[in-house]
Amino acid sequence: MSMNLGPGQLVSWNRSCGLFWLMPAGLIVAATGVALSFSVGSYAVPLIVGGAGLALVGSARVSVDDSGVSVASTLLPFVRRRIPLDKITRAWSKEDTTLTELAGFGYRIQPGRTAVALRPGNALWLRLRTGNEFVITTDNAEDAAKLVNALITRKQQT
Amino acid sequence: MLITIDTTSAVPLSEQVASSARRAMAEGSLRPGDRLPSARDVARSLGVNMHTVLRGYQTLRSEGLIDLRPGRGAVVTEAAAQSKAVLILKVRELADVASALGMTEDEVVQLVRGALRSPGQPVPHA
Repeated sequence: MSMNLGPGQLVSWNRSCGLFWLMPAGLIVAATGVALSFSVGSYAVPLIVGGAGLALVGSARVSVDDSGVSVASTLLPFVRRRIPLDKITRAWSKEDTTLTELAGFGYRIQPGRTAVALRPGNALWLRLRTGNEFVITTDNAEDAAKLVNALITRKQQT
Repeated sequence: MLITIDTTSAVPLSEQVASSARRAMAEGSLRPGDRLPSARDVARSLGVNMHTVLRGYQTLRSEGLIDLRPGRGAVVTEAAAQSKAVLILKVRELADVASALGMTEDEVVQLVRGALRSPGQPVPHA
């Protein structure tokens, strides 16, 4: 099923993605690291860095609108990645995306593919004008993909 | 949640925001405990005024579908079990169709009353 957008229509799709307990878990790990640092000193650094990293990427919000696709950390919303609509050629969803094909968990960069991989399963796949792919794991990726394609079509018509 | 707004429609923008959220609840893509995107984000993303979005959220709160708490944002209530959102959505549609047909309030109420009193029967009409 495809979607049609008229010129007078404003649309925005928005969804939080990732696992809800990852961000608090990351904060707890980081806090434990800070507490331990008083007794074990620099040995606690990996805990602090790892925990902070987990808290930052553990949960994110992905949105699709006329300006393009963007994904932002829930904890620090200014940590975000924007992909302008005119850089995207096509979008689709893939129900059985695995973390192996995205090269692991978190913000992953491989040759030809960048991914925000927060869990296996449904994901939004974007083909960029450069030929690269951008992948975001999110529920309800079908709707997001449909909307991206409809927005691209409308932009081309005007 | 997908928010769609038709700027050429006579329905107020804030009501269209509220309708989009009700539809998401009815379809199950917004569940109790889920957080709605912040009014500021929605406004920026759609290119409308933030107060328009907030007015839509206020409507949802007065219908008991969301809780608005300072600092925590808009959270879908337990009471917003799918059925209620569906019902409110249908009532909205009913009101829109009825006013498009030029029916009076009494006529609409009479129709609904007739349907409630004879479940499963064809709706009697005047």
